[in-house]
Amino acid sequence: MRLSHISYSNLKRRRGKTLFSVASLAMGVAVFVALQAISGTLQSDLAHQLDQYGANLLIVPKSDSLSLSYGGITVGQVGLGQQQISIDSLVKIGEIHDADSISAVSPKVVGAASTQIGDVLVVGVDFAQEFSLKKWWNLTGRRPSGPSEVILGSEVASKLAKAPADAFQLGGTQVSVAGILAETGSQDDQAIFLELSEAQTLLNMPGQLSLIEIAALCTTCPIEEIAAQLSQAIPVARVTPLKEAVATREAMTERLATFATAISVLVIIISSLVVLTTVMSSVNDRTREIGILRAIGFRQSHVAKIILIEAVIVGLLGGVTGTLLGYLGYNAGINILAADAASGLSLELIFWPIVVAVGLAVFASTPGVIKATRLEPVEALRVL
Amino acid sequence: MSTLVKAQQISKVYQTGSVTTTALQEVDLSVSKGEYLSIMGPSGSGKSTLLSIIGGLCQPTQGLLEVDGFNVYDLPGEKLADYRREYIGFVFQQFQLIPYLTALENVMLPLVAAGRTEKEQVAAAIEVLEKVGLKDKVHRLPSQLSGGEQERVAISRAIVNKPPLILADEPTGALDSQTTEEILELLAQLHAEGQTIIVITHNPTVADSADRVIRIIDGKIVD
Repeated sequence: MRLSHISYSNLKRRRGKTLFSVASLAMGVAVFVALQAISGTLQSDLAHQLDQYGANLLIVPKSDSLSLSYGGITVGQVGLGQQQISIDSLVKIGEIHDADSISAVSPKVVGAASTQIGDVLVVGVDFAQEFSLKKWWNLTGRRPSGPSEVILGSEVASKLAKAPADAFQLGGTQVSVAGILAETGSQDDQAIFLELSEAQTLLNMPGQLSLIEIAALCTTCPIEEIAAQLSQAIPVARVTPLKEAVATREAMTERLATFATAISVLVIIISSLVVLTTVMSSVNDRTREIGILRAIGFRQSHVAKIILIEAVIVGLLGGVTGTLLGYLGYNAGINILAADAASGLSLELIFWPIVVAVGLAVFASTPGVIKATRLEPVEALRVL
Repeated sequence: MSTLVKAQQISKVYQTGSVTTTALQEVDLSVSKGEYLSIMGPSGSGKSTLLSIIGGLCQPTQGLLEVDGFNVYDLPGEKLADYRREYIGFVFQQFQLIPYLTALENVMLPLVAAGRTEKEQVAAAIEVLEKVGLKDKVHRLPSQLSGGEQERVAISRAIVNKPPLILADEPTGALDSQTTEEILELLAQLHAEGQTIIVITHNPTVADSADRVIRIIDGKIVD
């Protein structure tokens, strides 16, 4: 017979208390696993969504003349009508090392063209890429289907008094309104959008681009690294990572992680206190038994080992059960939240909670161990 | 016969708050190897305190206890636990078996502490359980045994390590007269095999079965 047999037999005899300890620890571990996994998945999901939600990189020509602001963001020094980015740059963007992380590339030419109300900001875009980049665009009408069709920003539409299917003169060319944007609160409200090649002709900028907006999926890659690769690929351009978007994403995901960790730690502390109380109560109940063992020659270390082995068994059972329950909770939670990102469960999230559960059970048993080993045999027995 | 236990001027004083209780007063006692000694006395006379001091469970306030030639309470730290394991076999009142271990496992306990192999533990435990007539009940829990059988298990646990000294505290206190006789026969058999035994009892029948009887009153040996 080994000391572990005594531990095991005691746990078996005290099924109720053992189950209570295991259940308490399992609950803590389950909450920890579920919250951490859900938080991981939501972070990944959120990052994924934010990555797709607008551009996080801007490529503009290197210049030292005029300042250009677009979308409320100052993108650098750009000389309109001066040095422009060649449309060939789009090919180079597709050749950078982290090209797979780029979800949308939206090239633009920006300029002014005359209308019945005077000069208006004209933006030439690749509509497919632009709609992919600006998922918040709410269109009345339809997307343009031909080179002479345009989309009007809400303010321009109002000033031009145009509705979908209306036609008007833009820089001497007849265009028709395919759709009108709902108010965005950005500079898009004051712009007329038309097909890139058409805008290049209209603005007399053949083969040139004013800027390129890029959405990079940077859940697993640093945005600065992609910016550096783009700078190297297009030396004439200045690549600006939109740190605000990245910082927002990081702040949101960090807040989520902090919340999940705080709740997990709280539940784990409560579970540990329950285990501590149960072990102390168990030691109190077993005072006489410990006295018997000490009287027949068990050393303090023997008694300590018996209680610690019990803690390890409870910790293992609680850890494994908790991880399984946590996994089930995670699945249920993720179904409710309908997150579709990659699973937040990892091997670490299975292995470490079990190790932590055992560690906590041992830690929570320490006061009980100290109390048990300090019991004087004769006082414990109270019979001699 | 050589002396196994030698107690000199042993006193034990308990202090509870401002209340001082003297359990033993300058007790001298000598027990020879192979002797069967019975200690009688009324409740609170100090006989249990004397037994616990001899058993290494309770340090005397003053005095010297020598067992097999060494001063027991000079032993450092955990050596006192080793002394209890190697020199003493306790038979407690109410048997004091571990309720969730079988008879066999209860008897194996001192051997577990001694670090014996599992094979040695089982062989030694089976041997003593056979000796006390419990061969067929080794796998029963204490709750599945009668009082007399539990006492036999307790005695088996006390002797399995072959300690030089058995200390029994009211070993028949919870037994009927017939079972008491059986236990006395068992103790007599152990004594006949050379075992040194000290028994505390209220029961004159038990006391009379010993070689020598001493009486303690108010912490002093009176005869």
